[in-house]
Amino acid sequence: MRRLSLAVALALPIAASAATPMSYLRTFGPAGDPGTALGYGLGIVSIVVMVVVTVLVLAGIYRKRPRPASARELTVSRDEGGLPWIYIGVGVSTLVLIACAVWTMLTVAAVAMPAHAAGLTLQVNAAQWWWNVRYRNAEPLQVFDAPNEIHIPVGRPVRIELTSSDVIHSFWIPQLAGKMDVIPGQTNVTWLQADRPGVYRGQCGEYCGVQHAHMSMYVVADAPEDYAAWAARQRAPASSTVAAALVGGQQAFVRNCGACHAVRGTGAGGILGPDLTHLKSRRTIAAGMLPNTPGNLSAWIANAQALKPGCRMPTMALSGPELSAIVAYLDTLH
Amino acid sequence: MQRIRAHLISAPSTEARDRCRDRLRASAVASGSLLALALIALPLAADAQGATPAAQGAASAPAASASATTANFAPNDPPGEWHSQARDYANTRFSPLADVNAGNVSRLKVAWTFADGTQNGHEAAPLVLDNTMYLVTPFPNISYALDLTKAGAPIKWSYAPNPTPVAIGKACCDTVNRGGAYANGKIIYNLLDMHTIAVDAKTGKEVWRTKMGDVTHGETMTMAPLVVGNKVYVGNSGGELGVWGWLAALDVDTGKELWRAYSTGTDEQVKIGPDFKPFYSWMKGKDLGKTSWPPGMDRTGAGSVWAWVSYDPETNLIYYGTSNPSPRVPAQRPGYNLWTSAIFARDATTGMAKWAYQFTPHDQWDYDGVNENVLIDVNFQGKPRKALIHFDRNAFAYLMDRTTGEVLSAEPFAYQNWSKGIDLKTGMPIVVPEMQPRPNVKLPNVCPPDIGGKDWQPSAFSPRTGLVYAGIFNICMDVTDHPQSYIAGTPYDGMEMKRFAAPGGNWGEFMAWDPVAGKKVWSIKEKFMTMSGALATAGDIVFYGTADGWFRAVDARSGKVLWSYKLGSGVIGQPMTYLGPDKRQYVAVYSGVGGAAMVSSKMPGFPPRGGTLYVFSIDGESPHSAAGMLQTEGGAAAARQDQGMGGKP
Amino acid sequence: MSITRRAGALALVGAGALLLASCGRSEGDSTTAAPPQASPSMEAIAAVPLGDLAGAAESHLAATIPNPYRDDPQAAQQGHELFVRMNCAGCHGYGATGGMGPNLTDAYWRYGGAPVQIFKSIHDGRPQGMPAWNPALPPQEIWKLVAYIQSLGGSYSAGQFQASLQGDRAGDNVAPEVQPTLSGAAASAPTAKGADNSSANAEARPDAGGPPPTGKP
Repeated sequence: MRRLSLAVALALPIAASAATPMSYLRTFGPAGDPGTALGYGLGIVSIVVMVVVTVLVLAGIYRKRPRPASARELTVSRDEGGLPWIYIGVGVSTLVLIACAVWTMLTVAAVAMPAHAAGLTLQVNAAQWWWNVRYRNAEPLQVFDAPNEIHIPVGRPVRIELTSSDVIHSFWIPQLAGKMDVIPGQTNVTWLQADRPGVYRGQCGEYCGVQHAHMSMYVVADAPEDYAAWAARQRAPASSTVAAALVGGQQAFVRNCGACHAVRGTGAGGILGPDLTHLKSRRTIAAGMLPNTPGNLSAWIANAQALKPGCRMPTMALSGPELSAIVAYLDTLH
Repeated sequence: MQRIRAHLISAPSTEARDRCRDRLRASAVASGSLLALALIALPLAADAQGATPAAQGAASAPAASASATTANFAPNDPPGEWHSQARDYANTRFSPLADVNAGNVSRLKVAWTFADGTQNGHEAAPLVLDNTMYLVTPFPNISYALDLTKAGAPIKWSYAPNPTPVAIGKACCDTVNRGGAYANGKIIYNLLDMHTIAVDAKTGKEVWRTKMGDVTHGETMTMAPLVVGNKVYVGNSGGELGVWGWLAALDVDTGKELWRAYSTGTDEQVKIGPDFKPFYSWMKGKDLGKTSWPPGMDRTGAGSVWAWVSYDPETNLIYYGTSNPSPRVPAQRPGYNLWTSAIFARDATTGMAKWAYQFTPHDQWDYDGVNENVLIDVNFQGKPRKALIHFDRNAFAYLMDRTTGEVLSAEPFAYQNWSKGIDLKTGMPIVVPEMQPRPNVKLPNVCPPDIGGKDWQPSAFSPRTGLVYAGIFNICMDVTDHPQSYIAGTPYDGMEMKRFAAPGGNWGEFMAWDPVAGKKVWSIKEKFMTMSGALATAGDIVFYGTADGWFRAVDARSGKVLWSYKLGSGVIGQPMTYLGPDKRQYVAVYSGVGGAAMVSSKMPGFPPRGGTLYVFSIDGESPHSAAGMLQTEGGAAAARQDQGMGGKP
Repeated sequence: MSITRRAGALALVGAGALLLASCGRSEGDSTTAAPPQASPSMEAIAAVPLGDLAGAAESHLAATIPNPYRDDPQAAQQGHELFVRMNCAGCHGYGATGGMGPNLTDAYWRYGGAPVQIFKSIHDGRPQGMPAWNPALPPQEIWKLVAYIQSLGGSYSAGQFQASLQGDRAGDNVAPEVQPTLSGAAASAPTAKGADNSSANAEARPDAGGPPPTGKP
């Protein structure tokens, strides 16, 4: 299977990475590159070995033996000259396998820890079926929560501490790093580094319930200045002054949604669901499931169970005007 | 001495003899001066007690030497009266009355009683002045004036201020009230529903009512105001509901709010200015009440001011503590969480902070800093210091310099395993790493528990013994933290606890503590919690009560229990003593269990609730009891007889 | 390939396709979706009185409103999660045995212990500081909380509404001389021990029937 897709991917390298955001065949950072290289390397070795072995087997099968000159010369004799084949074969195989083993171990070591100390630490908490991300900092005032869409600065290793609120999940950004399980009751640590700005998609990699398939996230790698600007915006509370037309929506939001969701700067302080203080700054909603548009937001709030059945967001009994007022208010949370 | 003798015997050289003579002269001068000083100091010390031996039950002069621990007993109210919960600005709870003493205390009997019609925890002490006794009840915060001159101590007036019942569901630890204060002809006290009121002491009519906050946000008020001059100092409760803690000053005659100092937020909100000089480095910086919290969490960080305020008239500083930080799940709020679990010293006029000290930075166990600060003057390590003694929830007894905020000593007074001690160089506790709770993981056997080695129940100081007396706890807890959402009006808490007795098996203990030496002098182990206040008298008797209803008199020096009496319900109130119109000394205490003592309510023998004031005298004699039929003379009916609030009807 | 082999391959593919089709996303697979039974309307719930009716008429309404999650074991567990996360445990205690708020595991209910009455207490709030959780919690979530409280054993089943008003409990022995004066519901209260929360039988038997009181004692 792997060789088949590899062949396809090799055939269309550029198209592959763009059209398949979950493709791990091309990675963009030192947390994943060694693994990808190893994958390709072992793949090539495997193909070469297979070709060589196939050729030798076929040669062995179809080798023409010299016909005896006359019936009188039929003797039972042993073919000679095979032993060197064994010596060469075993020797080459052993060397190649040892090389591959060493290469594998070097790769595992390379992806286990970042080359230099991580500058940024994120606490990622997996819950059914979304990701909460807390951006840690030695200064408590710099700490903030921004769920589902992770931003990291380009070129710096980012340490990720993984905790779970309920069941086993798995943190997987295929174009940046391998999977790391998120196990309740313990904290697993992994790291990421993106060497190129861009948007990388991630997915939960361990079946965790009925909406496991829709538990995704995006990692956005920004240039360091852009990251700092984004972090500064995220740290800020929602604007305290709200246009008169939106006050009703804000109050309706706090009243209906504040028990589960937080918008810093208002009375909404719930931690059961994602922090919405800067909802509009994110590309998607519902853990990467829907593009973040007012229409989708409206549909989501009105009947989340129809879009993502079984998810923890209940169906809110909101009237039409109340719903549009809330969506209009949420639309201002950049 | 031997050296001098040797010299004389062996006929030393002239130089040696001169040297010897000089030494003799020096020591003679020294001892002579010391003697003179002592002779001068004795009467001075006696005067400093502030006792005016006018009435019969006069104070006796303390047998003090120049190095004894003393206090300033301003405002030096008449010895037979009791105008505020702590009796004086320094919060000594020391009465100069000496008629009841070790010789006759075993003859104490009930003279009369008064049931106030309410059932929740009774944490206050009565006030007595002008031959009238003033009482404030727990919710619904009815106030009574009882006429002590008439038989039956009839009700002169009673006033029902009708606080809203919504407040009942916002009070973390029972709908208690820690008492009123008398000033300028008014009885001033707080209502549970965020109002401070003043009632005319003669007529019982409300003079002013000031709204201090919004009870639907989870704020309540339970503390006893302190009045100094023309200012009333009040603070809020709600450390378990994510309130914004504060202390405010109101004008005593109009109730108008003069200033408010918050416990978290920017320096402007906390009233920190250029005069602020904390002693330790981690409290120096700008806007620490904001930067030591994740963004925005300081507004729901609590630091409420729900217990005692002291005042030093010489420096014009008030001292008070702030509650735990909110929520009670530390993982949600990294940072030191200033200025919670701390003590503030503020200018009493302007409210600007002079210094502050955080007892438990980044508190993880609900160790409020609100316990009383008793202002005492000590001789510490050879130097006289203006100090205060504070028994914190975190089980350490802090002796601090009250002018600078330096911690002179911090010794554990109760069993604790959360810390290896307080590092006096940095002022920081040395936290045991395993004792830090993580969310959703049960942490067993943490001592002391959330209610601490000692809670709000106030201590008493006796200048005659130099000791401080306090009821303390011997309790531990298993704790599990659950991260919490902030939903205004609901708990912002998250601590799931199971409490049990620490090694020894006793939940309570009453002790005498030497503040200078930093150790217990004697202690009495109690099966039930000792959550009552302490009272020390010049008769060298100390009074306290237990949660199962025993009220005891103890010899102040030896700790021997001289008298015990079983009351109707548990005692969590503050005992006080006064002179009746007949010049007899009475000791009064409320019985009515509740408050945080309810954490032990599953113990066999835990009493039901009640609400009765007991007044004791020698042989139970009083004008309110004699042979022959007595009848209550006059009196008004109690207000709000129909009420049945608080708990199950 | 031979014909038989081809047919076999086709059959395999067809079977696989059928299997895949039946594995469609199932609604209500996890019970955070709609409850198994229909939810009662808010109008019906609003019509349930807080206490007893003037004229001592029997109220049939409360008896017929059961918890729509009564047959759903997972609902009680999710109700427990909500109980902790919505700060209920902060007032009522982590085992719901009381603290700032009353004990929810005992048989004393100031505002009624039948499922719809507990629902109303949470939904509307109560005067001594119990906040109203509508609209912060939609009715489905409140019913899950009720399911959790019912699992604690102190509440009454819907059929016991009249008994709870009169201070009777399932299993109470009734003296014979008092028997004729009792209303039908109390007399026919289920004798099963404790609060019979999830039995379908109680729901199916409304309060009607039984002789009217023969006269005041």
